[in-house]
Amino acid sequence: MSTSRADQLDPAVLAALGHLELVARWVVDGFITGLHRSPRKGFSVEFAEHRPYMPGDDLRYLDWRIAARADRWVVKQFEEETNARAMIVLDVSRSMQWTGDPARLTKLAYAERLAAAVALLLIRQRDAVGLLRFDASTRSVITPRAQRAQWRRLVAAFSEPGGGEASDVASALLQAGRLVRRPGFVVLLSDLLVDPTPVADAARTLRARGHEVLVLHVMDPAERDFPEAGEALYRDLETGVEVPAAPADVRSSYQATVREALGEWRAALGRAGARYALSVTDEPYGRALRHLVGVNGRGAMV
Amino acid sequence: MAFLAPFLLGLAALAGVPLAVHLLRRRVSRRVDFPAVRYLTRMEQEHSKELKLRHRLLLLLRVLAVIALALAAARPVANLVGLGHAPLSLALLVDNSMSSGAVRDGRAVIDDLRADALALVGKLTPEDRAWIVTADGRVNGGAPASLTQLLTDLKPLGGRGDLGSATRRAVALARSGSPRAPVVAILSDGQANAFVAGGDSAITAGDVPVVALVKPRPALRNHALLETAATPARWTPAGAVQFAIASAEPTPWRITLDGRTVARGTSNAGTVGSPARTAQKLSTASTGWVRGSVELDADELRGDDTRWFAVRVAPPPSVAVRGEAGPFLSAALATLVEEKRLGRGTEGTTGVVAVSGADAANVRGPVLLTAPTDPVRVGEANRTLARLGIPWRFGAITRGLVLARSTEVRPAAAVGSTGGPSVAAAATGANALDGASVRLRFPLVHSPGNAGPPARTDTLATAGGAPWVVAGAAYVLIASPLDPDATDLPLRAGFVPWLLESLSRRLGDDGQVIAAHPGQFLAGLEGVSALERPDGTLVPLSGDRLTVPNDAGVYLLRRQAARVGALVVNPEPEESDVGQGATADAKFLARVSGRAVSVVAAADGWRKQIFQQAAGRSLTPMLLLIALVALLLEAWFSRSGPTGAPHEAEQRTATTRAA
Repeated sequence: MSTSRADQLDPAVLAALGHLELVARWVVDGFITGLHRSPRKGFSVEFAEHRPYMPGDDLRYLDWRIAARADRWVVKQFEEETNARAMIVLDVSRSMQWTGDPARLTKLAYAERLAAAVALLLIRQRDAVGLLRFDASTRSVITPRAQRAQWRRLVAAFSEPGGGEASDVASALLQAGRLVRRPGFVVLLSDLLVDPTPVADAARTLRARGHEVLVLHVMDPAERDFPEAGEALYRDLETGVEVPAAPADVRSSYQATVREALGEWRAALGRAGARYALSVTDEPYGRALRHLVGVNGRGAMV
Repeated sequence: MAFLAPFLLGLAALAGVPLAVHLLRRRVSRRVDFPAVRYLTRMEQEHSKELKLRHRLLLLLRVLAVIALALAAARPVANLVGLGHAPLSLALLVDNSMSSGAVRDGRAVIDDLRADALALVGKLTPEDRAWIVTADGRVNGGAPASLTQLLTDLKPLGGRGDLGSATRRAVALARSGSPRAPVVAILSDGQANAFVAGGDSAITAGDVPVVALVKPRPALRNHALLETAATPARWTPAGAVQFAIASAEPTPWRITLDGRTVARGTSNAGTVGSPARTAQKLSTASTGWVRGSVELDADELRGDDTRWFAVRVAPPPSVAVRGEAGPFLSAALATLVEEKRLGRGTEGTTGVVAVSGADAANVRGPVLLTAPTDPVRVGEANRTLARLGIPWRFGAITRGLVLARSTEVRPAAAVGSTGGPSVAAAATGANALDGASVRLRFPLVHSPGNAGPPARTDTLATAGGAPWVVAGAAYVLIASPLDPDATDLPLRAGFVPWLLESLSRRLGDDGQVIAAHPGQFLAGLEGVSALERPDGTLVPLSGDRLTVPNDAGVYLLRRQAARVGALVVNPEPEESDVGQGATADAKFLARVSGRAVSVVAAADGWRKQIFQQAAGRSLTPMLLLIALVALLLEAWFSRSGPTGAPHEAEQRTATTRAA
């Protein structure tokens, strides 16, 4: 990890190297390295917590009393004033738990790591982050907080059950908007296998309340390319609908349809004032992360 | 349309596979989880018409490709005018008989035939099957390259060959190449006797077209040696050589023995039908088997400028004559002794033949025995035969005039078609027994004891259906006394030569001289283990049969290390008639019958007519092209969708990612 930036590595390779929490840390560290580290981060007047001393830390903040008493080198960190609140809205429906290749992450695993990385990134800059997991209904909610322990709460929430047979994206978005009391960020991670109109309407509502809406469309490469899997009945995991198809015969038509659908999502969300990005699960996290946090752009979180 | 490999048409059944797949598509039972089914559903809704059309087009292309490949595998041929030629089954008969070695206008006829044959072979395609049949009936098939090499190496035969049999073989070969279009192409010098001599029966080509190329050729003045014979079989050491020459003007000749010229002269003018005959007495200091030849100065046809003969030079055989042999036999033998063809010896001495009546006492072999004059002595005679181990017995006396029939099978006698008597036949008296009248005889009864049935060659002549003259190991037995009251054999002109031949060849050790033509098939060569070529090399023989070599010359018969005879190979006299004649075409057409038999005088027309028999071509390349195009289209349609070409789709995806 010392020679490569984790945010630019294959997600499947990263997943093999460590669990979600560790991966999220690597990703964020690599991402921040790429950003040249925010000058706002650091130390304020209100003490928040200690952390182990790292070479390069300012010696002014070394806690000498602890060093003398316990022979441990720690530095004091101070609570910086929270400047943003964000709510991560994560789709945990059954369709998200699918992958087209066992060597790849499922869409949910990919989205969870990405969400963890976003949360860690925001928490590190003292933003308040919350989480709303949903499928047909809301599965779990963690209200936004800026404490460092918040990230562990978020990570722990990822292990809670999901896998419902539908995705009520619009309701989840609206509920997340209500949980962010003052204008903030609502980040949606979903495979968007729903109609665009209600989602776009919900995004428009959130935008009217002053929220920035970021939508990350998580897609498996197999959903985009429809690779050869032989003549078969293709079954929808959530609805149970079965469609016979031969990828070799219809692939190009399918791909054209997918392109049209993505274009519709982009247009609908764009009209609603939301920012939209497509993330395929074999892409490095860095690219998706850059889309989400919108570095130095409109509605940038970083 | 026909198929060269019709059984592969079964592959066309594979066309049902895409159809079955298409029809069974809706019965697919395999299920695959796929979250983005909504996109599939939407795709079907939006592109249903295009998808159906595309499916059907893909199905059509796949079925078309399979059917085209199956048809191509079956190698169809069809008559498509203007598109080359359909596969031919071509049997090319090249008449490379001796007359093709003639040189006309400075160019050998065989070279002319070769050029025409090569031009024809050069136009064959890999789909064609071709054989080259030569005048001796040999067949060679293979790829055009090997046929070209064969034609390049082709040489004139030493004789006439058998053009009739070769033509029949060519017809059968051409027919065997079905379903290719069968054609027999004949290249001949049009020599006058190409199809008519030698008793060839009519050739039926049936539905196989026969196209012969017979170019008109200028007249050729040829002088030829038609016949040669050496008499007697054993020179002691003198003998004579008779030969016949056909030449428009007096022609010088020379005779060689073992390569040395021993006589020269000039013959009178003669024709093939009435040649000038010459007899030359010779003597030699050589002993044993001697190769001889009569030679003329070289002319345009070298093949008939030399004819070969063989003689055995040895002391005369010795005989001991008893009184029981009768006055005629005694007189004949006395004459031969006087002429030093025979010598007198003492009975019982090695190599001395006893000539006697069978009823004589204490006769010792080898023997020439006649039947007793007195029927009462038959018992005594039969006891003598039993004592000598001869497996024959005299039967009861039979009176009444019958004519003797010669059953002696000569492997090959010199064939004379010239109208006059054959010099060989006249010299050896081979026909002395045939037609002899017999009034009194003691029909011979075979009594082999434990020796088994007699060989066919034991009976030299029959009379009244019963064996009359028989021969075997160390004996010749005549079933009548040699008396004019019993038979006129001793009065016949051929009697003395026959007697001499019997004494020297059958009872002596002269062996046999076989006259044959190149390519002829011989049987009955018992006891011959090898042929000694003129250059001294040996050709081992297995069995008692052989095909006479194509090169004229004297081949000595070997029984292990001993020379036991000679095979004298000379061309057929009629092959020397090199005149083409105005009726060559008519003779050919009269000999070969069939649906389409024609004679062409120009090479271009000949080739054109051959390929017209198969106007059209193989459809295989066209079908392969169709299959390839169908597969390429199928691949293109499979990759590209109804909304655009593949590169457009990739471009859109790239744009999406960039955004």
